[in-house]
Amino acid sequence: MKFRYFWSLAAAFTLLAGCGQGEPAADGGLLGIPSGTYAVDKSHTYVTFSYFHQGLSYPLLRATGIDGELELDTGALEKSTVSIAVDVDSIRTNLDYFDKELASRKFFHADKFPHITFATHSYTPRNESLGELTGFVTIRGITRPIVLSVVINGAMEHPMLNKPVIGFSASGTLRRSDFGLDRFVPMVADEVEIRIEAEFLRGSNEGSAAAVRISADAIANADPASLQVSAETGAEQ
Amino acid sequence: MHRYLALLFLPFVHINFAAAHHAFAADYEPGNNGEVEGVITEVIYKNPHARYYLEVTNDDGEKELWDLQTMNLMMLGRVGWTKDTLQVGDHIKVEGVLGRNNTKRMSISVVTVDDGRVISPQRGIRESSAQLSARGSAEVAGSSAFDSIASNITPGRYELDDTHAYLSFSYSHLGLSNPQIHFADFEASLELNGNDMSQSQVSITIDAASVDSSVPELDDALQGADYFDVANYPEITFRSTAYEETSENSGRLTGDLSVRGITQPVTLDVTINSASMNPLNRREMIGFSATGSFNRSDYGLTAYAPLIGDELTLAVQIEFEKVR
Repeated sequence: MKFRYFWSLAAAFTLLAGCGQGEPAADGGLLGIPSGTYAVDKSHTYVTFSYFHQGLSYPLLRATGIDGELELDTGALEKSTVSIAVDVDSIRTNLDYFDKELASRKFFHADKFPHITFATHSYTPRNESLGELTGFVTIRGITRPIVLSVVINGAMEHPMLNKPVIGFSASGTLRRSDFGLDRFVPMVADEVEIRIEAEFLRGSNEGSAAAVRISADAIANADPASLQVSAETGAEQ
Repeated sequence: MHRYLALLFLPFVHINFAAAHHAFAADYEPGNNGEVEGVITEVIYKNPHARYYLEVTNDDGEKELWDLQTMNLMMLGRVGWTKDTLQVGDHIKVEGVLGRNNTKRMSISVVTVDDGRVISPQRGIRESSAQLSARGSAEVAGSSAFDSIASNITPGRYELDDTHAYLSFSYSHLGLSNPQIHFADFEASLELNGNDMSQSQVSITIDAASVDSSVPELDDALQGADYFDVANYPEITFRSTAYEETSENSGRLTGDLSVRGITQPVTLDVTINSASMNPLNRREMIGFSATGSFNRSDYGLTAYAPLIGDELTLAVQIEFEKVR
């Protein structure tokens, strides 16, 4: 694996001169890559989250098991959707006992609710690279709306993998008490900031398709009242 | 766990809800400050961050849209910054930290409004001297009286609370995303002199082999000869050499960072978040956030730059406890 990684990097290095960003694609989309299905590149996707601990610091936790798909419409970005499933068991804190505690019934209850999911409600592009993604997060079987600030960092023909790729940064905040995760509030802050760094590669695979189904199931099982999105979604006052 | 539970009842000596933000460095470039001037076209007073779109006329006479971002509503509320503080049509001048990759984004440090108000997400709203004298008042909105946190706790040696310590770095991957890489194991100690912070010292020793990218083959690469070469250089160290206060509770910490046998100075922007006392063991605690960046090529770590970004952005979240 190690060598494959390096060979592909080395190949990319030699190809660098020939790979410009934003080259026009066959369908003439704004981003220079085609519309269609894109799967999470699991080697280049990071979900981290943070909260104010006792007023002292912001622990930086992460989930490593992330999969999902993007349905990209480059001609009408607002029609694009993304579906994500995160394995609760993959949440890492650097502390074994804390990892176990988070997976336990006290917090995420991983045995009963193995996934955290995201499903798209709407995307509001501000321009080609900035926008707001409104969607639904499901944790512990409870679904709530969230608004993510999105930056499209780049899109191009991947210089190593020879297929289209698109990369994002996104961030948003949720209140863990909304999902029944209210232990130690407020000494450990209720607000949790989520940060996503993600790359999606053209195509679909078994894992990404499964994540889409898991995300869709969460919406299908959600209380319809929780799927209402108002203009004030995300506002706190 | 007993300790964790006991902390719930911890009486705070001080809380400073500062602008410290773990994600900040991924969007913005600490140290790269700028100024823009223009007219507000849209106010988005919502979490996660209040935002303002600003129409700016650039040097070529063209109109550009800038995305200005500040803190979440809870923190703004603490300094009296409401949804009415800045409105569509206001002509403002904004100083702040610029977005990465020329994204026309800015994280707001100070806003100067045409009516003379000066507004800061940390310090609140200061009216112009003319406005104040008109009202015969020196009142300042929000909580203006920020004390120095460090001067209110006992000077001396503090040790790392290794259950509340996070050290990570990121870089641009092909211009597409910013991987978040952790070091799981490190030691740190602090010699605190709150009355003269320039005399305080901090030392960090990182187990280079504890680098954790969540991707096993990337971990192998990072540990290998092209990058940290942990077999020959098992430790990465930081020893502070100077601290320059930028406010009561923030400053610039310069130190010697040694990676792979090469030592270079780096500077971290530090925020002192708060200090408090653990009621069980009566030990004082102090918490920091810090960010900074440096070029890995300064340490001979040149592999695959610039495809894999040369600049590494550091993020440190750390709590210390007083050594008895």
